[in-house]
Amino acid sequence: MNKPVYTDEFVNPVVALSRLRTKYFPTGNKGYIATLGYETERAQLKAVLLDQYENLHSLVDDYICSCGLIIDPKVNPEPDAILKLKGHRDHVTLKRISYVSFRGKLNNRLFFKDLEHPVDAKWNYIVDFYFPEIVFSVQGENYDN
Amino acid sequence: MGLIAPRDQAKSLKKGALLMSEEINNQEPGMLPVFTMKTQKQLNVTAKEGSKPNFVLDPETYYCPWYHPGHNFHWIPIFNHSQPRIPIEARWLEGKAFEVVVEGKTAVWYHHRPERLKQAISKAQPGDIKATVGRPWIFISTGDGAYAFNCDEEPIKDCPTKNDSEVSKNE
Repeated sequence: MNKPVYTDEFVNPVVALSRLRTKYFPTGNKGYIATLGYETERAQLKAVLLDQYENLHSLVDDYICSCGLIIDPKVNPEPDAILKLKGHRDHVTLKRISYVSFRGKLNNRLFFKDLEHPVDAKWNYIVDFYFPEIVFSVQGENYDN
Repeated sequence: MGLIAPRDQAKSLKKGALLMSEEINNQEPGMLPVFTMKTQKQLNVTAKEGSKPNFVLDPETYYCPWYHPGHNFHWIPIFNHSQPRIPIEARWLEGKAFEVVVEGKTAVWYHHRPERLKQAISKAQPGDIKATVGRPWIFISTGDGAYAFNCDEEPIKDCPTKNDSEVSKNE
């Protein structure tokens, strides 16, 4: 069995967020490409921050969980592999955990308000795939996880 | 964020209930993979037949967005990791602390809503208070299901307020 592979890119989202502006706009000029990169990374980090805050897991990239676990699509090609893989870790302590709580369906979590980000779309598809009969009732805030 | 995934077979469910395929929870046939976030209650097969609960706790109006140990329960651990359950004894100590006796060993567990857990313990029949083996998860049977209480063996942090959550989201 392959050992789980992690990225530490999202380990400390607060620090990363605070450095983001300097990273993308060192001279203060906001080019189109730099702005796009900035917004993408900012959206990911905010998603990780919220996951860390609530102690939930979700995708922040096509093959990366918010805890840093990376899926190799060649080894695990199933769309819901992220839910089945053992090797998820605590966002803060980085210790392996015995069970994971996954976020529910999302509505424009990662990107601009009126567009559905591909990762959001994939995550919603995964939730439908893994929980085919799950029903999320409208309960107001805080009951959509 | 309101999310709706309507399914024909789930129309009869009460508002707020979560339904999953029944094969997932096959270790204890009595319990259904139906967990209501609002009341933090898992239903069993008798609920399907319309049985009444022995007691009802006040509806959960408390705000806490956390799924850390000692706070809200998430349905995945309940459906997939909460069996087997064994009878325990539990009593309130102080604050958020409860003294539990599991298989003859005494421990202190903490829960973010001590009033609710106290209320459930006081209304429960002897033998109705159970815990998952090896985990600080309390289930208090009500006849048609069980209220679930996610506890922690370490003292827990105070729950955030709504303002704290907004700060975190907008950081």
